[in-house]
Parts: sequence; structure tokens; C-alpha cells
Amino acid sequence: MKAQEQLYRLFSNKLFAVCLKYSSSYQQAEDNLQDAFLTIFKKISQYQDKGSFEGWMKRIVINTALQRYRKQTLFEIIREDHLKEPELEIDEEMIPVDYLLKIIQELPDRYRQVFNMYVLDGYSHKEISEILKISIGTSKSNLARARNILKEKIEATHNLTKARSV
Amino acid sequence: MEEKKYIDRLYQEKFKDFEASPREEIWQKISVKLQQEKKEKSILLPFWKRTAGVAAILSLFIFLGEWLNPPGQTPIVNNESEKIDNPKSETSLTTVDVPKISTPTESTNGNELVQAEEIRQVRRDFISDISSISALGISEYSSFIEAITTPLPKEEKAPELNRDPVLSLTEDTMKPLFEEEQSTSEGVRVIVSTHAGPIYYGNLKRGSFLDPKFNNNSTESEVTYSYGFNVAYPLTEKLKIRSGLSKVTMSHNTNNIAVYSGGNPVAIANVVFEGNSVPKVEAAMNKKEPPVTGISYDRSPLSTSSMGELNQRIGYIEIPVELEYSLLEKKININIIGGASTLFLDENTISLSSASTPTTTGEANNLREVSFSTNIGLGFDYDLSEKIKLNLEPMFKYQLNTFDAASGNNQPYYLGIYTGFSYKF
Repeated sequence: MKAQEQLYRLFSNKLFAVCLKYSSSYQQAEDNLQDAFLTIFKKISQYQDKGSFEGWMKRIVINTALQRYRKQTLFEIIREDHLKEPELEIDEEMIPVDYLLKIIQELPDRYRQVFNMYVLDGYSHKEISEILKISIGTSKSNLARARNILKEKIEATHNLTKARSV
Repeated sequence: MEEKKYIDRLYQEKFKDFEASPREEIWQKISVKLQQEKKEKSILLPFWKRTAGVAAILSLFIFLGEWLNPPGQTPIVNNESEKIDNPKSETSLTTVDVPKISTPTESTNGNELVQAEEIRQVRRDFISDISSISALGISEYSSFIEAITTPLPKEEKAPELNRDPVLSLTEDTMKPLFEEEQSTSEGVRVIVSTHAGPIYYGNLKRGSFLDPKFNNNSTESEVTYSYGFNVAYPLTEKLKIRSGLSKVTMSHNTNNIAVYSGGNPVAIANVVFEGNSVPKVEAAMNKKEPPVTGISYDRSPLSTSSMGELNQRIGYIEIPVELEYSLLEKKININIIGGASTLFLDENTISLSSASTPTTTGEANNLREVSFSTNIGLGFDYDLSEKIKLNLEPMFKYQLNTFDAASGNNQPYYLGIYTGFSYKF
């Protein structure tokens, strides 16, 4: 038991961050973390030095997060204007991480998953298409849409704050 | 296309070192679940192993006992020695030989029957021990489930650890984790199931189990039941081996038996009735009341008769050993099942009933104590949850060496539709 607790204490912060990125709420992220760690402890004998241990655990966390959505049918309303490319630049310093996290959680599930996997966790479109069972084209367009939504939101807030500070 | 990369870069920068602390509660929940899993594994599994092991050993002893000491060959201390051998032939009187059915035969028969009965009783005791152990197993199992689901005492607070994220994993941290896991991971995948279901008994050859003179009588099987449990162990991804214990009873009726209230006793070949009474029966040619015929041997008044039926009820304790091969694995799994069972005779009753005579009961004397069956069937499993399945298994079991050699070549079988639940450990 002690060894398991030690492992938890060492890695829970990093892995909880992963959970937060992939979930649509704080509550869901907590559930994910629990399930992921139970899986990690159960499967630990299967880890055979294939790459970094932290990476192995992270993959389990991501899989646990994705499994939640596997059985959902996807009826997402696609708004055409999300396909347009945004234009303005934004002052990075002013945007807090919490806000970025919040808007990621607000994304439709599929967009969020693809964005996280491609941009933050280094999966290729091919790998994403295999894991999520979608076509590579869908993966690419989901990514584009995710980027646009995020950009729009950031800009909207930024313009608001800029307006206020003037 | 800088814009695309812009958002990517923004997120990558900001999330590079992003960490968040979960609430302490989360660890508490995880550790409670770990305790539960550990307890379940270490208590339930060895217990089942022990129970199954004991049942297997006991059945082996009984089988050996049967082999070394078969019935019908125990020496009988009696002065009428010439009548001892093969007492069965004594009872299958086809000639009317009234004077010979007298005390010598009765006494040798009596002794022989008593000896055989004692042996059977000893076996019955063994068999009932097995059933009571397995029944105990099932009741212990449910009380253990209760023990596990009661809340555990609160864990003592864990010491504060150095939360430096740069800490690399040392062997000291990793090793105990691996060792703990090894000790609890053996035998994790045993599946225990219970089943019950209706049984239909039949004969592939047209003939009677009781007496060749009834070979043309119509028979019908009554619906009876079988119930028991199985333990399955996966050998490969698709193949499982399983064994278990169940009780199966079969019942069938032979119709159109003409029962005479007077006249000569004409015994039924493979049946011994209580108190050695010998009934007076014949197979009726048709379904109507047989006519009053003939005069009796000793010139007693004409015999009257009525239609009756003979019911045979057989019960076995069955120990199957079967292989289960998975054909289809979706929400509903389909398996093909094949194997063999050892059957220990547990119940053997014959009753003769008709409108005009009181019911006479006895037992068949041509049933072997230990016999076998070859089994084949299909299994349909439906996943109710990750660990619990609902099963439906129609099975065809063809019996082998059910009867002693002398009693004709019948081919009994039984069909069962077993339903039940299984739980994966």
C-alpha cells in the first residue's frame, strides 16, 4: 500500500492536470484521476520498460478520459463560421492559464480531444484517427474548428479587457 | 498560416508546466477501493480453490471405491449357495414357476440386497457430504460478500512526502509496487457460475429401460430439473476449461401397463419392488381397457385388470468436465461447449400406479452406480456488467454405460436448458 501511495503523491499533480485538460468539468477530472490510478495499479505488472514510466501512466490517463466518450454518438452542430481563419494577434502575457483551461473544457468533446492530443500531447493525425476511430480528415477539421473556437473566445475576452482598461 | 500555429504555441507554452493538485479525498477513495480489491482476492479465491479441491478429491475416492469394490460381488454368507450367483436372473421369471418362488430365493435375495444397500448407503453419505460442502461454499460466499461491503476502519494519515517534481523514480519506489502486484495477480480470472434448468429425458433407441416386454409401449418424459454450479478457468483467450457439481433428476413414464389384481405374478425384468412383492403386469396392446382373459394358474377367480403406468425417477450427482470455446464475443457471447460428466447415482425410484391397485414402489436394479455422459451444447452469455453475466446453455448429454450389460441396448440421453448467472473474479 505504501508504495502505491508514494507513486500517487509523486505523480498526481501532473496527471491531474492531464485529466483537467481532457474533461469537461472539474468533477469529471476527479473521477478520471481515480479510475486512471486504479487502472495503473492493476496493470503495473504489464509495464515492461517500454519508454518512460511517466509516459506510460499518462497514456493510461488519456485512455481513461477518452473511454468515457467512446459510447456517445456524436451529434454536434457544426457552425460554418468556425471554419474561417481568425486574424488578430493577442498579447499572451495577459491570459491566465485558468482561463485557457476553462475554454478548453467548454469545447465540444471531440474537438477538445483532438486539440489536446495533437497540440499538447504530440499525437499525429494518423494516431488520433486510430485511437478515436475517426478519419484523418475528420481529425484535421476537428482540430481546425477547435483552434477557431478557442481563438474567438480569447479574442472576445481580450477585446473586452482591453476596452475596459482604456 | 501563422495563425494556426499561434494558438498551438500559446497553449503549449502555458500548459508546459501546468500542474494541479487534486483534493485529498481522491486518494482516500482510491485507497479504499484498493483495500477492497485486495481483500476480495485473498479471501474468496483460496476458499473456492479449497472447496473445489475437496469436492474433486472426494469424488475421486468414490470413483476408486467403485472400481475396487463394485456391487453385486460381495460374498454372501448363506447355506443356499447355488442360488447366490447372479440373483438378477432369479427375478426375471419368464416362466410361470410358482413353487420355486419360495424362501431360499427370498433369503439369498434378501441378504444380497441388504449388502448392496449398505454399499449404496455409504456412497450416498459420501455424495451428500460433497453436496453439503458445496452448499456450505455457496453460503460462505454470500457471508463473505457481506463482510467485504461493510465499511473499513479509517486509514491513518499518510506522512508528508517531498513533492519535488524532479524526484526521479528510484528502485526502492518501484520494486515494492511490482512485488505487491505479483502476489495478488494469480488466479485472477476464475469465473464461477450457478445454473438451473429443465431436463427432458429420452432414449435414442426405441425400447424400455425396465423390461423388454414394454419395448413397444409409449413413454413420455416428465419435466424435471437440474441445478448446480460451475467453476471455469480460461486456458487461452478463447478456450476455457470448467468443472462443477450439479444434481440432475430425470423422470419418465411408461404407459399402457395392464395391472392385474389377480392371477400370476409376472415380474418386471429390471425392477425390484419393496418387500420383494412382485406385481402382476403386462403390456397392454392398445389403449383401451384390456379384456378379462384367461384363468389363473391356481384356478383362482378370473383376474381383473386396469390400465396403469410405470414411472421411473432417476437422480444423479453430476461432475462435468467441459471445454468452452468462444465463437463470438460481443455484448452477447456465443460459445460451443463439449466434454464429459461423471454421474453418481443418487436417486432410483420406480412406482407402479393404476386406478384399481395401490401404488407400489421399488427401484431399478440395472442402473449402475457410476456412469458417464458425453456432453455437447451451446452457450449464450449476456454481459450484465463487467463482472456479471447471464447465461443460457442448451446442452445435449448422451449417457454411457448407464445400465448393466444384460439389460438391452438402450441409449438414454437428456437435454437440458441451463440458465444462470456467472461472476468473474
